Amino acid sequence: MRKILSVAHLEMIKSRSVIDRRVIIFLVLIAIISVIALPYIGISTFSMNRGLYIVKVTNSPLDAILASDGRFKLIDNGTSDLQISSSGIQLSRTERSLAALSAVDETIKEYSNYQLKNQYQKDSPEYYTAFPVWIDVTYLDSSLQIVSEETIVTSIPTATQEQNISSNLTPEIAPGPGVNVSGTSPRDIRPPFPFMSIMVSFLFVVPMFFISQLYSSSIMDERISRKGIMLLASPIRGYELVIGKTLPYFIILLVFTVIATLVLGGGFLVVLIMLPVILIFLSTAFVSSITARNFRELTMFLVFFSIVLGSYLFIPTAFVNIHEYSIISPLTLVVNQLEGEVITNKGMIFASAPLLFVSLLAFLFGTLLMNEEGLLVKVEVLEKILDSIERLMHYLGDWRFGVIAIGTLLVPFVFMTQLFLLVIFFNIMNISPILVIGISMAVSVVVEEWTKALAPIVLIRKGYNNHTLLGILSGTGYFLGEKGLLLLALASIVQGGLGQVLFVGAGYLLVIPLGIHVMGAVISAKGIAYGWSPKRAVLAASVLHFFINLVIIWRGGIFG
Amino acid sequence: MVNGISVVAKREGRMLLTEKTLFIAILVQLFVASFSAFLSLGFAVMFSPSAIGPELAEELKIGVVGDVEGISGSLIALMSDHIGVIRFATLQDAQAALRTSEVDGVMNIKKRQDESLEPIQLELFLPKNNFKSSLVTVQIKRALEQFQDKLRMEKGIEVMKLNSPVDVEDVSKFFEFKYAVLVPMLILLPAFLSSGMIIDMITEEYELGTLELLRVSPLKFSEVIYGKMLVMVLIAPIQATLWILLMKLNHIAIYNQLEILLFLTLVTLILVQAGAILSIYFKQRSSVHLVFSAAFALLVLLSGLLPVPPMNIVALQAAGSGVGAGNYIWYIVAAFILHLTIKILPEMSE
Repeated sequence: MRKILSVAHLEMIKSRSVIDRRVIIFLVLIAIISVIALPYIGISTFSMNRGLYIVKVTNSPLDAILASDGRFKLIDNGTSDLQISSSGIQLSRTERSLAALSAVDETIKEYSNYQLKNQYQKDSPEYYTAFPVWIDVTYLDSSLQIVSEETIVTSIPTATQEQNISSNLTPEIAPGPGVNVSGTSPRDIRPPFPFMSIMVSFLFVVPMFFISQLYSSSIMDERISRKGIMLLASPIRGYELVIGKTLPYFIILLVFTVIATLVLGGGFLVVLIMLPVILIFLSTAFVSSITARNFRELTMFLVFFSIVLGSYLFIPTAFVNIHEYSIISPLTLVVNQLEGEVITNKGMIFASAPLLFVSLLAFLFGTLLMNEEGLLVKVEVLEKILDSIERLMHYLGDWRFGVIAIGTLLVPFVFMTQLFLLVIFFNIMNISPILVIGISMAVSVVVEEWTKALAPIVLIRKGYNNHTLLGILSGTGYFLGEKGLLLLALASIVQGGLGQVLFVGAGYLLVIPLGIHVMGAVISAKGIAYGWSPKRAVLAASVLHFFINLVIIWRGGIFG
Repeated sequence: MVNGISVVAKREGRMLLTEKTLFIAILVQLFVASFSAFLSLGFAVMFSPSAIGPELAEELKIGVVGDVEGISGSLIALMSDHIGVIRFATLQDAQAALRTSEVDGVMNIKKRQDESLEPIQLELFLPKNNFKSSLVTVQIKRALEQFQDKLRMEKGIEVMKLNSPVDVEDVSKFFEFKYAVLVPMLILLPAFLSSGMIIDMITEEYELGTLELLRVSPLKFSEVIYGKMLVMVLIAPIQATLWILLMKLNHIAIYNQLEILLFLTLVTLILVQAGAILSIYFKQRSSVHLVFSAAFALLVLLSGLLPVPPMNIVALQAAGSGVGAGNYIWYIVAAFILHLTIKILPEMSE
C-alpha cells in the first residue's frame, strides 16, 4: 500500500513538468488574444450557411426582408437558384432551387409573424384576431401525470406543470377580454432538441476524454524514456505500479464526477453508476498506451476508443423512455435518476456489469504486460495479447484449467463487442435489415472465434499437440462464461430483433451452443496444427460458425 | 535539400502504410461521420421529420380531448393531414393511452365561454426527453400554422405570403444540413487529424532521442521536418477524395471538387505548420498537445473575423454556390507567415 502511494506521489510530481512556465505564457497569450478578438466576432459569423442560396429579386419589400437573412446572396444578374419578380417565381426543379424556395418561404413567415405582432396592441381584441390560436406545451416526467389548467384531471395534487423545460416558450399571460391567454402562438413553438439527455451526459464524459489522454501520455512516456524499467527493477511489483500510476487520475475523475453530479442535483447513486464509466475510460487508455508502438498509434487508439465509448454511452440515451435498449448505457440510468425515477437492481447490474468486467480485465491484461519485454519491445498487437495470455496461464497453473478459465474470462469482451454492434446498428436497422444482420453477425462471430482461439494458439506454439482437447476445453470455457453472463439478467435485451441475432443460440437447448463453440475452437486449433496461420484458421472456423448461426436463425423464423 | 526531403517523405509514407496508422485514421473518420450524422439528424428533425422518413411521421399519433365542436372540428380535420388523431372523451382516458404508448402525446382543446371573443387555447402534453415528442411538436406546429392562416383569412387579416408554384411543405429541409454542416465537417476533418499526427511524429523523435542520430547522417534537421510535413499535408486531400467518393455513393453531389481539395490542402498546410512549430519549440508531447488545442481554438475563433470562414468556404463550394477567389488570399498569407516562422527557428538553420 505504501509503495502504491509513493508511485502515485511520483506521478503527481511528474505531471507538473508538462505545464512549465513557457506553456503557461503561451496559454495566457492565447487567452488574451481571444478576449481582445471576442467582441469583434459574432455568433452568426460561424454559421456555415451564409450565402448558400443565390436569389434574384425584383420586388422591393421582399428584397429588404431577404437581405436581413444571411443565407441569401442577392444578385441582380447572372444565374440564380430562384427568381422572384412581381410576375411570379421562377425556379428549376433541382434540390438547390427547391431548398432555396423553402428557405425564402420560411424567412417570409418569420418576418410576417414579427410584423403582425408589432401591428396590433398586445392583448387587444384585434391582437387575438390576428393570433387566434394559442398553445401551451408541457413536458411530462416519467409518471406521465397530466395536469390540465382546466383541472379536469387532478387525482394527484403534486403538479408536474413546472417541468416545462423548454426555456424558449415564453408564457404570455394576458388579461384580454376577461380571459387568461397563456402559451405561445404556433409560429413561436420551438421543438425541443431531442437529445437533451446527451447534453447532460456530456458534462460527465468530457473530462474523461481529457484526463484519460493525459494518463495514457504519462504511461507512454514511461515506456519511451525507459524509466519504467528502473521502476520494475525496484521492489515495486507490476500491479502496485499500475495502481499507483492510475490512482491520481482515478481520483481526479471521481472529483469531476462528484462535481457534475452536484451541479445536476443528482445523488450518491449517480456517482456509483458512473464508476464503471470512469474505469472503462482509464482501462482503455491504459491498454492503448501499453500496446501502441508509437505516439501516432497511441493517438489513433485513443481517438478510436473515445469514439467507440462515446457512441456506446451516448447513442442509447437518445432512446430514454422509448425503448428498453437504452439501458445498455449507464448514462440512461443517470438521466433516469436525475428525473427521479426508481432504478432497479437489474437495470443497475445490466448497465454496469459489462463495463466493469471489461475494464478490470483490460487492467489485468495490461498489467501482465508490465514487464521488460512488454514495455520495450515493439511488437504487433496480436503478439502482445498472446503474450499476456501466456503470462496469465502461467499464473493459473494447470494448463487445462487455464484454457477453460481464459475462455470464460474473455466472454465479456465478446459481449461488449456485441452490445456495441447493437448500439451502432439499432437506429439503421430499418434501412437494410439483411445487410445489418449479416454484418453484425459476421463481426460478432469473428470476434467470438478469435477469443476462443487465443489460449490454444499460445499452447500450440509451446508444443502441445492434443489440438482437439485444446479446442474442446476452450469452447467449453467460453460456453460456461456465456451462460454465466446470461444469468445476469439480460433477458430484456437478448429478446427480439437484432438482439436475437447477436446472441444467437442463447435461448436454445444447451447442447447446441456448446457444440457450436467447441466445434469452432477445434477447427481453429486443428487449422493451426495443419500449418495455417492463426488468421486463416480462425477465419475458417468463423465462416462455418456463421453459416450454422444462419441456419439456426432461419429455423427460428426471424425472417418469417 | 529536395532530395533529402523526398527520402524522409518516402520513409514516413511507407511507415504510415505498414503501421496501418492511416487505416485506423480512416476508420476513425468513418466513426466520426456516423456519429455526427446521427447527432445532426436530431437537428435536422427539428425542421422536418420527413428527414428521417415519411413513414415515421405517419406513425405518430396524438390523443385529442376537450371542446371539439364548431371551429375546433376543422382544426382536427387539418391536423389529421399531419399526424394520426385519436379522440378521447376525458383526459384520464388520453392519459391511459399515453401510458400504454397508444398515443405519443395528448392535446386538450380548452372550453371557451365566448367563441367570438376568445382565441382558441390548446394544451399539449408530451413525454419529456423523448425523441418522438420533438417530432410531434413539429407536426402540430405545421397544422396549427395552417389553421391560423385559415382563421386569419376568414377574418380578413392580411398576411404577407409567398405565392409558391410548388408546395413548400413537401420540400426536404435536408439540403442545408447536408451542405452547411455535414460536408464541411467531414472535408476538414483530415486537416485536423494531420496536425495531430505531425505533433506525434516530431515529439516522438525528441523523446526517443533519435534526432541526435542526425548528426552522423547526411540528412539535415530541416529536411526531416519538411519531409514529415510533406507526407502529412499530402494525405489530407487523399482522405478527402475518399470522402467525396463516399458521399457520391450516398447521392450527395459535391461541386467544385478541385477547389475544395486545394483549399483543404491549404488549411492542412496551416495547421501542420502550426503543429510543427509548437513541437519544435516545446518538444514534450503533452505540452505541445495542450498548447496546440488552445491555439487551434484561437484559430477557429479568429477565422470568424474573415469575410468567409473556412467551413463556410467548403459549404459554399460543395453546394455550388461559389466563393470569390479573393477569399483565399487570407489563407495563403497565413500559410506563408507560418512558413517564414519555421524558417527562422534556430533548429531549422542548423
